[in-house]
Amino acid sequence: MKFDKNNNVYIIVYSVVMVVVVAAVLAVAAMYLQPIQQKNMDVETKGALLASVGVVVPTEQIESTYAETITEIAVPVDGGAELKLYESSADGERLFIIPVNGSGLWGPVWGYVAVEGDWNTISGVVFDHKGETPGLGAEIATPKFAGQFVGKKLFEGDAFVGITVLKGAGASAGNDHAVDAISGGTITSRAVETMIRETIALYLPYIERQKAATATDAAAVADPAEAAEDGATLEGATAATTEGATTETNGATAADTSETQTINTDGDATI
Amino acid sequence: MGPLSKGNPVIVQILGICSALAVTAQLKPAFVMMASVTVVTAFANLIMSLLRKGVPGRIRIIVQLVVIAFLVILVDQVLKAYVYDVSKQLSVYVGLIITNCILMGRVEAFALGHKPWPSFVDGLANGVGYGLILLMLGFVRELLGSGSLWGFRVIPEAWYIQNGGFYANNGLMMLPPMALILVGIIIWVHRSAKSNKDLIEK
Repeated sequence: MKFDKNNNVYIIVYSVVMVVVVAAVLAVAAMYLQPIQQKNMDVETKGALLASVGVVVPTEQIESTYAETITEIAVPVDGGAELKLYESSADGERLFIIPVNGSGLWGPVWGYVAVEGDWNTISGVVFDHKGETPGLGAEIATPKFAGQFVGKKLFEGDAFVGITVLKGAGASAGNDHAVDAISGGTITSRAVETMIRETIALYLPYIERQKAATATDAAAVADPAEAAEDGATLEGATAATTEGATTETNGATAADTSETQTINTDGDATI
Repeated sequence: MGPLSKGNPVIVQILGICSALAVTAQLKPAFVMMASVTVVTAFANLIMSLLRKGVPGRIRIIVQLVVIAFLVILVDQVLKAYVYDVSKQLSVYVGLIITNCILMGRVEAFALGHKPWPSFVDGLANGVGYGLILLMLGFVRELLGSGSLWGFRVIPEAWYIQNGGFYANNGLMMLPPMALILVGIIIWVHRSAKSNKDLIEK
């Protein structure tokens, strides 16, 4: 009797064996290659963190540069979990990098928002995505889009407003809290807006504590006249923090070396 | 020699054009793509040729697809592990090797009817034939589009207009349509050669 290759049983057994063999080989390969791929991804993340504070180095130098410039801070939140925050000392300037993530149109989007010592002004951002539409949503990863965020403010006075993404070219001109959306990439653009607002909101209690500490500190160190000015309004206190701190550097620099737990004092000491 | 010139998959059979346009803006991704496709065609042909006696005819296309997909995933994983930046540039095109007509075409037309060794060589030759065109495109596009080759600067910085020179990169070279035009030019030159006159349709 001739063996029939089109026999249903044979076809099913053949398919099952084939799939199992292929799956086994791929699983072994994936297990073996995983650590190397993971390392590549870590390097990429570190590269993105460095890029958000304006440091761009060749891939081989990322690890060492990262080790020199960036330290990780664990931010405790209610419920015992911890959030990640990064502190950068690139070019002697103290910046804080807040990792943000959300979901775009097709998959996850994420990024790093670097803010200055006042926790308000954005000094740089980097966004990336898993699989947004090339030429449309994927444009969030371009320097053109990210460049819009530089100098924008996260807070209006004391209220956290985040960054709004507006439709229409130039719609955000002169607005400290908005950038232009990408035409054709509305959903991804909105995802960026939502991700910044929602992720940074988790850090707000921590940021408030840091800002409060800084404000008291600045008021205490600055000379009485300025302290009075600063104290006029709460809003004024936040805004004048940088000014007050600068005056302090010029006037009584090393007046207070003991105050190391507050952000701005630390930064000023290194200027 | 067939697949390298007279039976070249890209310029004679006009297969695999999509990836040929997408990954050739620079030489390095073009080369990695060539290597990947060559490995996949060669081994897909080899494996299918070994299996050809046992494959049930009714599901042979599915079996071919599984074998090709298996090899492509393997290649993709290896690229991600060892040449991460290039694999990011190639992005979906590595995955799309699965749908590259050259592979299915060779497996279906050749490997299922031939012994393993000739099939392996056939796959190898087709991959190289495909890659040669990719390299030509990559060479021209990177040289004229970015003024470099394999990432190294070939055209001196001082020649550029912004540095007081007389030269500017051709932005069109970086865009896929230019690759299509270049493929057209290659086909034209290739068909004009004496030995290839028989390829021209009457």
